[in-house]
Amino acid sequence: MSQAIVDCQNLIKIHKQGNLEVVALHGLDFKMARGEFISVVGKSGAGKSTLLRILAGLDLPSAGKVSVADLSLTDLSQRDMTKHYRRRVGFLWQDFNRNLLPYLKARQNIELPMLLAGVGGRERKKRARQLLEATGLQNLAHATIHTMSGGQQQRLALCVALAGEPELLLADEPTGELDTETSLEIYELLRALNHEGLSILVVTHDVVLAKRSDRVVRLADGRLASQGAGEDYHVTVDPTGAVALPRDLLLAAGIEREAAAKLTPEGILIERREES
Amino acid sequence: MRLVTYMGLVARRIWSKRGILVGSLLGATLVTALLAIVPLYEASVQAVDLRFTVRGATSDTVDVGVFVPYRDYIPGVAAGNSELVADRADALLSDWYPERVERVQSREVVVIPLNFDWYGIAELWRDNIATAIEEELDPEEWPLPPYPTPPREPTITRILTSPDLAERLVVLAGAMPTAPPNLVADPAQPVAMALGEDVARIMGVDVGDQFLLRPFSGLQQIFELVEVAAIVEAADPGDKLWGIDQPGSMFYMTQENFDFWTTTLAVPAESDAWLREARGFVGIAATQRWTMGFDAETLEIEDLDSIRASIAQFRADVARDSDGTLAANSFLPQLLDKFDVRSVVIGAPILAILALVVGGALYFLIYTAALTLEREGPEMALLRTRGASSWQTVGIHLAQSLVIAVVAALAAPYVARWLVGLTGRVPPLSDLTGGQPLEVAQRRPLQPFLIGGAALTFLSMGLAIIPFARRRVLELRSLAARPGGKSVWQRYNLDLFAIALSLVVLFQISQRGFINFSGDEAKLDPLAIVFPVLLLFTGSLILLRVLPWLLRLIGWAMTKARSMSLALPGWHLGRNPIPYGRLALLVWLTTGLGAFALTYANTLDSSFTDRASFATGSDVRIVGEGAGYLEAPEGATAAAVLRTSGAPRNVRSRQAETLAVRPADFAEVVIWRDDFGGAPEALFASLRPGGPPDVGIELPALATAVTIDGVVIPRSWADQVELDLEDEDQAMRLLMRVFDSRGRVWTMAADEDWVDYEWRTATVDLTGGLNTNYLADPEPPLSIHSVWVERSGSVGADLLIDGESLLVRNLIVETDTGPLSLEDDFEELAPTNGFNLVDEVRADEAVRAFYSEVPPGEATPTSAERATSPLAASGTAQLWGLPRVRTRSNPVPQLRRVPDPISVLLDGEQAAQAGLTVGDRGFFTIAEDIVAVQMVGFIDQVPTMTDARTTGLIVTDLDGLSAYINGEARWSHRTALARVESPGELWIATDDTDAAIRQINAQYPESDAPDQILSLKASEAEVSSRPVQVGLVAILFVGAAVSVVLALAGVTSYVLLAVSRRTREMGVLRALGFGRAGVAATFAIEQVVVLGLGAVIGTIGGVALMRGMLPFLQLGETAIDIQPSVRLAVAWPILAGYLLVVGALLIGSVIWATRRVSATRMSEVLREVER
Repeated sequence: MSQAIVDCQNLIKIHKQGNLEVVALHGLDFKMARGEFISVVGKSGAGKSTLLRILAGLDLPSAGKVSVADLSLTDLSQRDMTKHYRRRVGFLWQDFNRNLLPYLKARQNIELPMLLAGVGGRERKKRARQLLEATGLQNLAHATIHTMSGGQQQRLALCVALAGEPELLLADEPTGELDTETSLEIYELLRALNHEGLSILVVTHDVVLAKRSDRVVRLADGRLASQGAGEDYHVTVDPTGAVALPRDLLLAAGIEREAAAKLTPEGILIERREES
Repeated sequence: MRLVTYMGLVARRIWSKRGILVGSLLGATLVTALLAIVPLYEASVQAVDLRFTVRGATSDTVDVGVFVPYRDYIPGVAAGNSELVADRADALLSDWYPERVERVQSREVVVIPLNFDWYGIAELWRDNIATAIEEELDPEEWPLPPYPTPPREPTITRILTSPDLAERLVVLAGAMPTAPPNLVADPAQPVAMALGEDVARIMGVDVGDQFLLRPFSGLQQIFELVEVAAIVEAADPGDKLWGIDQPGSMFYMTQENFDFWTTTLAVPAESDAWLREARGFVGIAATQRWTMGFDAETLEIEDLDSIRASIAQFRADVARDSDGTLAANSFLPQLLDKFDVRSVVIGAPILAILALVVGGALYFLIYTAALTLEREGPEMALLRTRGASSWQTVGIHLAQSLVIAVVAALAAPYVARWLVGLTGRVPPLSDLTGGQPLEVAQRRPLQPFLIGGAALTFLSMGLAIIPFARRRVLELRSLAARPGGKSVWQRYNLDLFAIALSLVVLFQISQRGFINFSGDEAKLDPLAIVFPVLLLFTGSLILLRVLPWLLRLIGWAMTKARSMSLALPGWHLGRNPIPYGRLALLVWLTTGLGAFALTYANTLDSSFTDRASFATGSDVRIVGEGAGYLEAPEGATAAAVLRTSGAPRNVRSRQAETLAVRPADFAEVVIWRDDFGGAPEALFASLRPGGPPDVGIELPALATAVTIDGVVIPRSWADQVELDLEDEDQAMRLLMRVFDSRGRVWTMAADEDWVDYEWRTATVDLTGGLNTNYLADPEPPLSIHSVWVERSGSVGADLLIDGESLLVRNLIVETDTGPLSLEDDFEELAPTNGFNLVDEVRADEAVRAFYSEVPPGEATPTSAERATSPLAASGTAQLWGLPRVRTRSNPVPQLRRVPDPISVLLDGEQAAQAGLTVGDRGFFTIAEDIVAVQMVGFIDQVPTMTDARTTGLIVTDLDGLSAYINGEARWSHRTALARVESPGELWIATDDTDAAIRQINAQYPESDAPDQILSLKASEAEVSSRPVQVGLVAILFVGAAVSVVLALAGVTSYVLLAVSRRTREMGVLRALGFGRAGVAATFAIEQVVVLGLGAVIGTIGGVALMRGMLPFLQLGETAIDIQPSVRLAVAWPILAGYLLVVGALLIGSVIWATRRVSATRMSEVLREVER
């Protein structure tokens, strides 16, 4: 077993729309280590969602190689692809309506993938209970979907995605329809899962949240633009002058409670300041 | 356990989608119910028809009769047979034949009245016998016993008995003798009998009277003294016991008494006047008969096979167990066989139409299933991404379909029964059921139909998932937002192949026919049932092919509009027309089914009218001798018609039905269809190219009599003496054939004979005729067609002429204004058949002939004597000479107007047989007379000309034909010389049928009436009230109604889906500044264009489908082609009304569905746009 759970080599995807050909991925080379938490960012049309769909097995590349958990997705039969959905990957879509079956109750939604995978009833119930507890939804096990808030639904969707104990969790804008606080909760949850060993690949527009991942991968025009530390962080400045910096950036810089700001020719430098 | 969980998942899915699935469930229930309706409705309508059939049949058709003749009636044998019949009838027939009547009837018995002293003679004979014994005469020399003999005109009757006779008779006088007599106590006592009141009256007997009675064919010594014990009448003269006999004209005995008196009864010889040692009607011939009375109310449609089998078994049993002496019979099985044939023939279109409706409903099911699946695309995608395999996805849907199919199959029998019952409550079936629900009958088990329906619904819903399940997840996710493209059919041009295949199958069906006969049994070709569905299927495929092109064209036209609300839908339609195929197909099916149903019903109705019109010919048709001469009812137009047969004069010719009409009158009254042979006025006018035929010497309107002086040229005086001739031996009578203004032919005879001893003036009274049944006197002006003479002593068949010659002069017609000479007019008449006309001979020729030879001893007359002879006349006269023998067997030598050839219209077959074409002349035999004809045109059909025994048809001019065949005298005037082929029919065109019939009846003398009075009104009622026909119309309307309901549901679903799919597009329009109403209008216009197009094509398709179904209607219920042929009759106003209603409903549903467009909030729309 290699260390890389995702391995894309020279990945090309061309969408055909009538006579028009749109190149979504332009020879992408990308690897993801097991247990890694990666955020993929980039402008619209950069190829983020295409990459995610290919990794999920929902779409096939036009050329190049892609493997997930040492399994080449380009050669999979329909049956193997179903196994891929059941055991290797879990999905989390932005629109939580699309993550859940509205006519099933919370626990039944979690049990559904296991039921489809042939997991026994007792095991299903046990796993569902664990997931509900892990996401703090234990009191909503018998709730119907439409009675749950957006955050609860997305947490439930996360449970459903994890029900099959996948090796890789793929999330497409999982917080796109959530407020900042709930988004943070979801990210915390993802981070916690990652700490338990789950590999996570998240497509997001939110750079701040992206910085909470181990690695941020930027796509531009279907290619890898940059990745890893040293990358610029986008921060916001409110009218009162307050600057919100990503927590991991602060941690990396050794800043805890206080910092020193200094004007330089390039801009403002924020440095660690010894506690007085 | 996992299965339970699965089913729980399915149940939750069904419950959560109950709104959508209710449509599928309704469709599935409808399909299954419609299939279940097939046997139920067929059987139920047949049950009504059966009831009508058996109720309408005469009892001798439906009853079971058993008959045994006895040459020598033996009570013990009769009792045994009675037991046998009762036993078998109770076992096999009692369900339908609750009533059993038994009777024994003797052969004829002869009444010998006691007005002759038979007993006195017998006593005398006994004395003679005693004397002979005393004289020891050889017994061979003894006198024979003087047995009573019947009078020359005896009363002949029969003795009837029955086990329950007393209950069926009412005693008018006396008492019904019940117990057998005690002959030991009184060996001479008479036989006590009851007499029917009629026979008692005829015989002039009363209670206590006595007479002798003997069997008609019995031995001389078999007779009994009978005493009238009672006079009786039938308690119920319609009782089956009497059969066809008159109950008032029979003698009656109770069964016990009859059995007693038909046994040999030993009595002391001395107690009998004729010394007989035995009494009783020994050896009497009799018949024993049982009649099992059929109760029509007990026969259910399900019983047909069993009643046939039971009757057959009964017949076999009684024949076998009686060693073939008992014969049982019933015509009910034959009646039921014919009913079966009719059921199959008439049931065919019902089944075909039901198949059509099922096909339509099935499409609806597939349609809603596909719509549902499209909506469920994202869910399927989710399931797939959650690890559901293709088969698991399919399984969930199949389980869901199975649940729906099972529920539908469970509910369907109730729905089907309810629907079938409901048809009895609504017209037209309510007319037959009295507004009560149609009684649901069942001949075949429902299970196969329910299973079939469930399977069909399951497959149509379930199979649709398979192609969906194979789609990629992303495709599934986009399904709900983006409809599919070309169908599989078109993508691989399978539709063209299917169309070609369908056309081949359709051709095959049209060649094979849809009903196969094997003997009397009719079987429906199953392929024919799918015939309409196949037509619809083919039409649908063609529609899907051409629709995109049509929509592009319409779209292009709409884009030219200035209004954006028109241009936008135009762009949309033109750019992507394929997805509209499904909606258009639904509307085409709906309007197609509706148009088909309405056109079918209208065509059927029109055919009823056509058939009734064809059978009647005009509003009213009177048939009977001389009916053509009746007065036309007030305010009505009438035409006399003569119906006979005719054929070309050649060896190959076959008889054709022949109609002789007066062209103008006939064209006015006949109910005509243009495919019979062109416009009737012009067609029939061609029969009289030169105006009315010239039938003879036209007399002045005021003519009252014709007088002609004449004398028979006598034999010579010497011959007369030698032959000893009487005066009257040479008397000759003048006769004429005269036509009156109404075309009636009269034979008129002179009031006085011409004789050979004097000149006499014979006067023919023109105000009356011989031997006619005409209801009114001759109507002037009259025309003398022919004149002849015959010996006034002619009787019977032979016309007695023998070369006589007559002199005639002073041919005068008397009128109110004075006499007019007819001399010149008579010259127009040509002598025929040996008649010799010599004009201008000396008028004293008779004198000369008489005195040409004087008997021996007589003096030769002087000139003065000659001049004063009654035979003398001055001047000139015409000489009429009769042939010595007639040249042909029938026609009489006469002076007559030789008619011109008559004009005829022939159908193709007769024209070919005769080798004639228009303008040709030839000879035909019409009404057994040889007639010269000229063909003036072709004619294909004429109402009422349906005589199956003839081939082809001939139509000719009545007056022309009449002049030909009636102008020629054939026979002695004392018998049937006036044999006239009179027009036996009067065709009447009237607005008031009842009044016309009343007026016609009033013209007949009391106690007389025409043979037949046919009216269009009655014929229409008869034809159109037949249950099977009515049932067919009912099912058509059910079909139309079902199609509308399906269309409403389908269109609403479609539009709702389309709205949800295109929210984004609407959002863009709203964002660009379109108002809510504008967006909704844009959307609605687009749908309405498609609906309109579908409706137009559907209407055309429905009518075309009906055209294809015409062969189903062409075969009548007796499996014989209907006459006249069934023609497509489109009720455009009704169709337009139907389309308006359907259009309004569908547009309403579109507007209702597009409400969502205008109700959508801008924020939702914009969020959709941002996605």
